[in-house]
Amino acid sequence: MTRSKLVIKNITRKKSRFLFTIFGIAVGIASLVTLLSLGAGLESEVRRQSEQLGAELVVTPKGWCAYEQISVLTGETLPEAIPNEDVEKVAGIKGITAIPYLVQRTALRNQPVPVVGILSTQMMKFKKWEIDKGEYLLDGGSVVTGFGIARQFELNVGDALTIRGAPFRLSGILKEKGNRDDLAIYMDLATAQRLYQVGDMVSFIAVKVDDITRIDGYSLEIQERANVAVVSDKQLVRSVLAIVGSVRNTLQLVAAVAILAACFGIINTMVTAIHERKREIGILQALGAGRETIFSLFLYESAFYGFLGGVIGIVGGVIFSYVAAPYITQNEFTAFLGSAQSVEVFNPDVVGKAMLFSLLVASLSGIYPAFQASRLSPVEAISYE
Amino acid sequence: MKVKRLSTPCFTLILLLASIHLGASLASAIPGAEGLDVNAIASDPFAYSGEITVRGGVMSVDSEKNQFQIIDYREYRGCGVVTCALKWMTVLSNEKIPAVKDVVEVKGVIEKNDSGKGGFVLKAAEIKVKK
Amino acid sequence: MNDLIIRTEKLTKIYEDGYRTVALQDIDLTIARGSLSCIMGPSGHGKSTLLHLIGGLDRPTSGRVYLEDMDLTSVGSSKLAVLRCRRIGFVFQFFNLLPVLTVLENVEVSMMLAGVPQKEQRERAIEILRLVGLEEKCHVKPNQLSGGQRQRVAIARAMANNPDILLMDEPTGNLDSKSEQELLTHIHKVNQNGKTIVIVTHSQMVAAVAQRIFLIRDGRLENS
Repeated sequence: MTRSKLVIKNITRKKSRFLFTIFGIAVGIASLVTLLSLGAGLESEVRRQSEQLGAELVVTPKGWCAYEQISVLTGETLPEAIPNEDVEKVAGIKGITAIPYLVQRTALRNQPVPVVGILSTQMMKFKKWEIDKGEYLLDGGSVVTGFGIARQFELNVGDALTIRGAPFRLSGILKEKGNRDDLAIYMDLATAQRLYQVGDMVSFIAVKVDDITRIDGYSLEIQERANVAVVSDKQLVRSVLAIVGSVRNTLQLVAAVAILAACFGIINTMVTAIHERKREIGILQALGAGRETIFSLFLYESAFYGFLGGVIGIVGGVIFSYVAAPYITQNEFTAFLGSAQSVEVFNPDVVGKAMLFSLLVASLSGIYPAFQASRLSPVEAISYE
Repeated sequence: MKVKRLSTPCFTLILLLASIHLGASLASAIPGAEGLDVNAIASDPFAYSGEITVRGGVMSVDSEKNQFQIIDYREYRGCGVVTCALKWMTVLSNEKIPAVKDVVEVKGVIEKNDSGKGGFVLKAAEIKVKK
Repeated sequence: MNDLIIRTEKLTKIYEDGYRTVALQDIDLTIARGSLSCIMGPSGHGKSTLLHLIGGLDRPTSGRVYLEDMDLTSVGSSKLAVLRCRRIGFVFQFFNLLPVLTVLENVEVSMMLAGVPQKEQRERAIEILRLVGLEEKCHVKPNQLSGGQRQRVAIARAMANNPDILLMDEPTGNLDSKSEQELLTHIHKVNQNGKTIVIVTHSQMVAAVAQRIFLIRDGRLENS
């Protein structure tokens, strides 16, 4: 006989109560896991996209809203509103590299595809691109594509493309980068501006600074020189996460309530069990179990509820996340973030935390009943009928 | 006693489902829709050939001319208003014209037409108003 | 060597919940090592209370209980628990086995509390159950046993940690006379192995095997 065996035998003696209590905590933990996974998935997606941008500062037209800021990260079409004059002013600041983007759209086989107008040599250096096939030639009649686009639409070097009615030759295909860079057609900036009739405007400017410690100074200097707004990549992530976070906080509150209810379920179960097993507690005391032993036996029982409920809840939560992710992530905030499939559902960090939380919460719920049990007087307990 | 024991997990579940439902309905006061986006098409409308499905929010309606304008669905969901968009698309339709702020899925063909912004319109064959 | 294993001095227990009840007053008694003693008297006159005080399950209002030279009334509750575990075995009237455990496990529990390794627990439990004639019932739950068998399991459990003293509260109270006789044979056997036994009982049959009888009436020791 071991303590754990005794605990398991005691806990499973009333099957239905055992199952319902487990179910209570499992539902709470499942909801927590679901919400945390989705939240963490969205967060890591936002961060990943921010890293891909590879810039410390983003210069945008004044008055851009969160939707447009997110679009910088997701590569959606953006309104073009920064004139060349401002691009040059920004580029003229010492210690920074300014990379203008004009983000537009065309379609291949009726599927929208981003067309990004860039300064070809500068961009190649900034992004450290390498050519996979063909040559890196961007001019009035030539474009290059990312690896993903070429594969998806079975494009080859030399293929003819029609963009806004103008003929282009595919001069090269970039090596796979494993990010959004793979999913666009790149065009010479001046050509794109002419083709999309946007004058000398660009959508935004990505800025790389030489001295990261002076980032606030650069930001100020840019705004003084040009009529633009500046956000740091961190601010950008923060503002996106703030939107995602407001949804997440609400959902976490729901999970918290569910877990709180489960805690009361455990306390209720344990108090009932102690009431029913008062006499057995007395027997154990007569056999030589001290207060600490009685306390620990009952605390183990509630911790065991936490353990089992946690395991079931985590499995349930992960499954539910897979099923629910497309529905839950489809709201006005997360719709910007691209496909729901990109949300990573299984997150070891979340699973570990949820398990720990489950054990902790269940153990905490068990403290009061266990304390009650340990305070029983042996004579009172043994004489209880 | 059994009823009482049952009630906690059941209550939890009901509360959870109700909250998710409430959250979802609050988050999606604008109904879901499938299809291509207005902003994407407006950039290069003639790159699309044949019948396509476009989703969008109705910005304005002109019943006399049998036409209405739609803005980008995601922008509509994000901003909640139909008056702030820089890009929109004109839809010509012989069917029943939807109301302003409706979310629609329009099946149709892109045609050259100077009456539309950007020199094109979407000639609708079928319009679905999403609820 | 001290020949007395238990000694009480002016042992008094007064309950004061609502109104004052004197359960025991000024009890002085001595119990010799290896003896079989009975505590008798009418119901509700303090017999069980005396047994609980002797066994360290309860604390007196005043007076002292000595286990050999150790004053139990001055010992902390965790040390008392250890003493109950290693030196004293209890058997109660209502069998008091743990219903979720098998016969074997019920015997093992008291050894588990004493920190005996699992393998040794099993070996010893089987051996003790053999002594009380229940080795073939090892894997049966208590509710499948007769009253007499359950009480024999309780005795086996009380003896598991090889205590010096066995305290029994009406052990035959729920048994028919045949089972009572059988149980007495076992108790007698245990006593002959050198265990000190104190039995609270109404039964004349039990009293007949006792070497000494304490009579409690109105919380006082009448004669012995």
